[in-house]
Amino acid sequence: MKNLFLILRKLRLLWVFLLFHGISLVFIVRQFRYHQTVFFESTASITRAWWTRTKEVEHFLFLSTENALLHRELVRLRMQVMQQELQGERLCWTSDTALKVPYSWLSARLIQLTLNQSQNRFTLNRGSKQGLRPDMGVIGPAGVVGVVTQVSPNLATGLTLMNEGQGLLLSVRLKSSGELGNLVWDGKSACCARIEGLATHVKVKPGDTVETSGLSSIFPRGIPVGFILKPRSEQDVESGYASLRFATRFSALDHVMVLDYTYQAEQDTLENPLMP
Amino acid sequence: MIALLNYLGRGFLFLLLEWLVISRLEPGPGWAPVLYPMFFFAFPVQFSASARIVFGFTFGLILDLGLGTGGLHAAATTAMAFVQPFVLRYFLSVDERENNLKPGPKSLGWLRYLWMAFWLLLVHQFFYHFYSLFSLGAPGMLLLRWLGNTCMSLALIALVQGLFYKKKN
Repeated sequence: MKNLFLILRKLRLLWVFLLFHGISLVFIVRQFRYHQTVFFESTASITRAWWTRTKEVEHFLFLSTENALLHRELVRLRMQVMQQELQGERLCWTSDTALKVPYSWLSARLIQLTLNQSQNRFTLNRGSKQGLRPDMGVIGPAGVVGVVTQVSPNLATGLTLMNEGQGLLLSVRLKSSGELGNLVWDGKSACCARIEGLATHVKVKPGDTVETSGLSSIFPRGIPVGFILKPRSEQDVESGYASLRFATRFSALDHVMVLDYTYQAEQDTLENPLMP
Repeated sequence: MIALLNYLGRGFLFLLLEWLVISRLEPGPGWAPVLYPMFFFAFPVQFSASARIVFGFTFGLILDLGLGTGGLHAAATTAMAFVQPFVLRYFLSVDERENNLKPGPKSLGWLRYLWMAFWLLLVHQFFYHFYSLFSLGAPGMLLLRWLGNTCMSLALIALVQGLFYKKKN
């Protein structure tokens, strides 16, 4: 504070000048109509620019809140789309439950994510108290992210698609032809994986969409997994492989949605009657 | 006290000169040579910088009231008074400053005096014509008026100083 006073005192000549110069300017503006117009137009444009900048900063500061609201809205719209798709597909069914959406979404946020391990994991800010349980699918804004494996009361962890070995085996299909395969990550790149088990006659084009097949209770059909990276080589055709680029950009992931399959317990009991 | 009255009397004389003679010269639209800055050039070096500004402002404002120019002269004279100590520091040696020299053709020599006057007039005329035009849309016009009026004012000051210089010798 003392230093501030010293600086102000040092610059007293400048203050005196600015004061009297300012007073002179006031007299000029008051005297001439042209000067008044220019002055008020300039101050109006400066004020406008200032408010625009302030609003931009304000918007930026509240971006996270708006992001959360948008995410909630996205969840609601996805539910609505699914409901409508289901109504279109099963119009001939008479049971009320047939028109009920078998999946619901829970909004969550990633609080931890690994990208450079052989078994890459994520942690979510939601747990069993919020309705999460193991084997729930996790999707991001662009596509599939992974599957929840463990839950605590307030947190949950899971495996991402970037998992070597048998950590996560995802059944996928080509959107264009409907051909089925399994997604396998070889641990070489954070952006790419491959499909195994494609029939030899299947032709793929770069950019073809690969989506979930819906042959499991974790993900419904049609959620993007990735896009074909390049045409299959002869070796790929013999081995039944196709290269794929993930739809999800894992390095830029923040908000996700956790899928809750309403009939999971019922389906598990039906498919594995001996399991408790 | 006598010195102060002397300054006030000279100031009043310059005001009358500006009101009655110089402002009526009107060599053309936009041409407004001034003579009164030479009154400020003659202030002793050790004259307080803040007082210089206050004095310049008051003088300019009185002139504006008489000429109906709002605060154009006040703004220009205030700016000139503000930079004057820095210009003097550049033009005068330490001895000259310590001896409280009164800048004039006799004490500084013609070349140094006119050179100092030129820089101070540049500042004065810039603010006067910048505020007079109050627009950045015509930089050529501003430059022409600025430099033209500076040279014309300098010539006027040199002429008046020359008249008095001859009389003193």
